[in-house]
Amino acid sequence: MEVLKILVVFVRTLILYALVVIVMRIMGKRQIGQLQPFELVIAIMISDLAAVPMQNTGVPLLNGIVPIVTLLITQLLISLLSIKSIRARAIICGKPTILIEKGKINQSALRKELYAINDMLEQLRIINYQNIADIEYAILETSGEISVVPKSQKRPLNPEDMGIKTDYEGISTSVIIDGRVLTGNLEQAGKDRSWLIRELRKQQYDSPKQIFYACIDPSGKLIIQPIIKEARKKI
Amino acid sequence: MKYGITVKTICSILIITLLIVVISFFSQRKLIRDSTVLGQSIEKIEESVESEGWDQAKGILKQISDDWMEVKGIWAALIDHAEIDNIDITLSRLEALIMIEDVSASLSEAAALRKYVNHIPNKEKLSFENVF
Repeated sequence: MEVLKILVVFVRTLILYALVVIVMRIMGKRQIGQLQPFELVIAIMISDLAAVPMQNTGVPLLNGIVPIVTLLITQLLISLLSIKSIRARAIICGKPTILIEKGKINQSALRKELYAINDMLEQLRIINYQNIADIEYAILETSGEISVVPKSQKRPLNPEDMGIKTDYEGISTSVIIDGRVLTGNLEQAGKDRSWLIRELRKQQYDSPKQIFYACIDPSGKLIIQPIIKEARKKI
Repeated sequence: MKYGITVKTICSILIITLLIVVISFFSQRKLIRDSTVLGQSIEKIEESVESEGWDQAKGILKQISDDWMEVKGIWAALIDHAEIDNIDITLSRLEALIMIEDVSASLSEAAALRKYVNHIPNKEKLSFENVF
C-alpha cells in the first residue's frame, strides 16, 4: 500500500509541475529579478500552493489546481490593466524614482523608498559605478533594479564619438544544431537546403549530420563547427 | 477574422472564470444532493434502531454503504480526504454496533454519521463564514 501512496505523490507532482510550468509560461518571459511586485507575490504564492497538495494526499488535487489557475487569471487581468491604463500601472507597479539627479543624491526619494544609502552604493558598485560624481541620473526602477545614466564625460566611448563609420551588423542565424537542420531558421535567412548542402561540400562535409553547430553570419557566410567524436563520448 | 491579444486574453480569463464557477456550482449541487440522500437514510436507521427493528436497520445500512461507495469517488475530488475517512470509520462503527444490536451506542454513532455527512455542503459552500 505504501508503494501506491508514493505513486499517488508521484502522479500529483507530475500534474502540478506541468500546471505550474504552463502557468509560468502563460504569465510571460520576465526573469525573477525583473518581476513587478504583483508578479513576485504571485510567483511566491504559486510555489507554495503547488507544494502543499503535492505532499499531502489528503488534500484534493482540485484544491491546488483552482487557486493556481485563479492566480493566473488574476495576473493576466492585472497585466492587461497595467498595459491599457497608465494610471493603473502607476498604482499596481509603482513609478520609477530618481535617486540621483544631476550628480546629487535625492535624500527625500531615498527616505520615501526606505532605501538605505549603503544599499544604493552597493547596487551602483555592482554595475561598475564607484563614484557618485560620475552619475548624471540613477533611477530606481519599479522592478527594484537601479539604472544609471552616466555623465557624458564618463560614458563608454563608442564609434560615433570617434567619427568611425561602421557596417550594418545583424544577428547570426543558427541553421544546424547537433546534426539537425533548422529548416525554419534556414528559410528565415532566405536560404534553402540545397544551398546548405552546397556550402557544406565546399568545406569538405557531405552531410549536416557531421556538423555540431552551423550558423549564417550577417554577411551571409556559413560558419561551421563539426562534431568531434571524442567530445561526444565524454558527454 | 483576427482578434487582438487583448480580446484573446479577456476571453480566456472569462472562460476560465466561468469554468471555475460552473464546476463549483455543480459540485456544490452534487454534495447537497448526495448528503441529503445519505442523511435521510441515516434518519431512517435511527428510527429503526429506536424501535429495535434490527433487520430493517441492517437493510438500510447496506443501502447506505452502497450509496456511499458510489459517491465517495467524486467526493474525494471535492472535499478534504480526512472528512471521507471520518465517514468511513463512523460507518464501520455503526455497522458493528447494529450487528451486536446496541441501541444507545448505535444511535450515538448514527447521529455522528449524520453530522459528518450533513455538514459537508455547509463546509464547502461560498459563505462569509467559510471565506473568513
